[in-house]
Amino acid sequence: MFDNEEVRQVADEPPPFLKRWPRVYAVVLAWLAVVIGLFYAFTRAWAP
Amino acid sequence: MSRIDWIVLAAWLISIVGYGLWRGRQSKTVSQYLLAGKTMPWYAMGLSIMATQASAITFISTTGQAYVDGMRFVQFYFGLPLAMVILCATAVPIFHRARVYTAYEYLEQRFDGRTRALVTLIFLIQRGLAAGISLYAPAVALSVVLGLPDQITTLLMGALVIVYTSLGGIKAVTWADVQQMTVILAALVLALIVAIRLLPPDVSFTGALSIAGAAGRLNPVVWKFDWNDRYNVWSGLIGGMFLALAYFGTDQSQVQRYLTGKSVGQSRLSLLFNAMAKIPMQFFILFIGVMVFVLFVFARPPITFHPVAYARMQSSPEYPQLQSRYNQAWQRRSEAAHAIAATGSDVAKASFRAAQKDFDAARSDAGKLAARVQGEDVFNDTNYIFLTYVKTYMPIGVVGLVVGVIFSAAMSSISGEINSLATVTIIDVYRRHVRPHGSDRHYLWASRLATAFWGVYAVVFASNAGHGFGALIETVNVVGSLFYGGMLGVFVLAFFFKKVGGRGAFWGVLAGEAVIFAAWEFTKIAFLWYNVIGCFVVIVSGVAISALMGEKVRHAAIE
Repeated sequence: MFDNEEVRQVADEPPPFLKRWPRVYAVVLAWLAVVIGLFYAFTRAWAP
Repeated sequence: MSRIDWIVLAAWLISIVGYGLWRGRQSKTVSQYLLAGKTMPWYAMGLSIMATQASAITFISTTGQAYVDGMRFVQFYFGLPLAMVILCATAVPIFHRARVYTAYEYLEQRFDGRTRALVTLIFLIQRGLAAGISLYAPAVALSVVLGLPDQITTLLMGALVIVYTSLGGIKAVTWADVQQMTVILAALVLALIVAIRLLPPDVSFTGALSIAGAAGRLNPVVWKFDWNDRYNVWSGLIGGMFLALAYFGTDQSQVQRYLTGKSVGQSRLSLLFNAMAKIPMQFFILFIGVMVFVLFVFARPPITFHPVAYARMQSSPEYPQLQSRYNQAWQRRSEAAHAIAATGSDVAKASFRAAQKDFDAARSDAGKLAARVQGEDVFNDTNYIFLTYVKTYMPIGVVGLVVGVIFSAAMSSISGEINSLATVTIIDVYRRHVRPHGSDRHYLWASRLATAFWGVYAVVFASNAGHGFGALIETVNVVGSLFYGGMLGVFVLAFFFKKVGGRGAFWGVLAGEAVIFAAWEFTKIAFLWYNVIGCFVVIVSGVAISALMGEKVRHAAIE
């Protein structure tokens, strides 16, 4: 660290919603699956 | 551009610098200058990460790419949410707990000084090249469109970035990014609305989609696996995930963003915001390119979008016949498109596809002629498609704003790059090897000077890139992927392989890089896979070397 200053130690904290981080991660992964599914439907609908 | 557009452009550029400086005015210590005193909220970090990624060349290239190749490029980002979740669970809390300024500082805590120095060197080479190119590519595109010498646009962008980045530090960079990203999104929405409103009255929105679909442009998902194909679901999910892991987990230009968070949770939220917003945003940008394609089905575009090449090729003897062939193909395609909008029949679609083929062939021949008159081996006008659309069809005032947005997209990437290069130069090189016991004030000024140095370097590199390094741009894009696999591998070893020590990590990185370079030189494997291959080689060789040498490991930094 520098002579007269240190990098501030920051706190870990629970997410603002869903209470636990693994649940938030699961929502993100579910979102990815939904997006790919929607894009696939879009591709099929407008295929040449 | 009209006088009003120039005024809007100037006002926008001044506002970026002013806002960045105002936000960064309290950066009086090294921690404030390099890490914003760890006070940043998640939305500012998230938008800043997004802005740094969305460089100007990505912005104008992505729309152009959709014009010529459709929307399949969006699959490149499918691995990003997977990577973000992994990083939130691993790298973010580890880096915060280690209380580091740079990701490479952590490598010395975990392994040794030699491994830190090696990865620092790799970062400085790779990101240093990228900084020059980030400035050069949009400067050239904008210079052609604005009719200014590229040295002027390079110097203008470089000077503005150097001012607010060197004076305001990461806080100025981050808040300027937030401002820029907000206006970028607004400008994109405007661009889409104008493209749709300019379609002929008999072409509805669904009619436009039918035309784009018939041309094969609405293809965001391709399931077929091919090692040599850059954009399909599998290369996106696997290769894209490894690339995103390397970029967000090991590249200081990104790591530094989430190290500014006021808590681990805020840093996580900034990455997860990107995980959810990035794919829809890229889809949206590509969709604008598709709508520009449909617009140019009805409004005849120039035979090439590169204004200088277009002017030069007109004096060529082949030009009149080529232009006539192009006009006829465009006319047939336009008539077939009207038929699709009216009936949606398969016959109309087949007729459109046949006309599109002739149109593409005429454009391809025009590209060959353009390459010849330009004295280049390969000609590509993709970067000029969106700029041509903006200049030709956007209303007065909005043109200046959109050009300003493209300027600022370039500046947000460059500011992040030179800021991170300066941070690594000071923390991992200067303080580590040259002057370990300076005062905080000394390092603050050294950081400012390092930022200015890297900014000047980027300007000098970009100013000379067009004079003797013409093919370098393409090469440098590949160069980035040549190093990420090795960098990712060493961090995976650090986080997950507790029995691997410094020697295993150091030689593992070198082995990984050797294999990546061999793959690049001797195979046709698409570049996204280099990250996967390199990472695995580093892990396997690192584990094997450590086991063979019976290394003792520093456990304190692992937990």
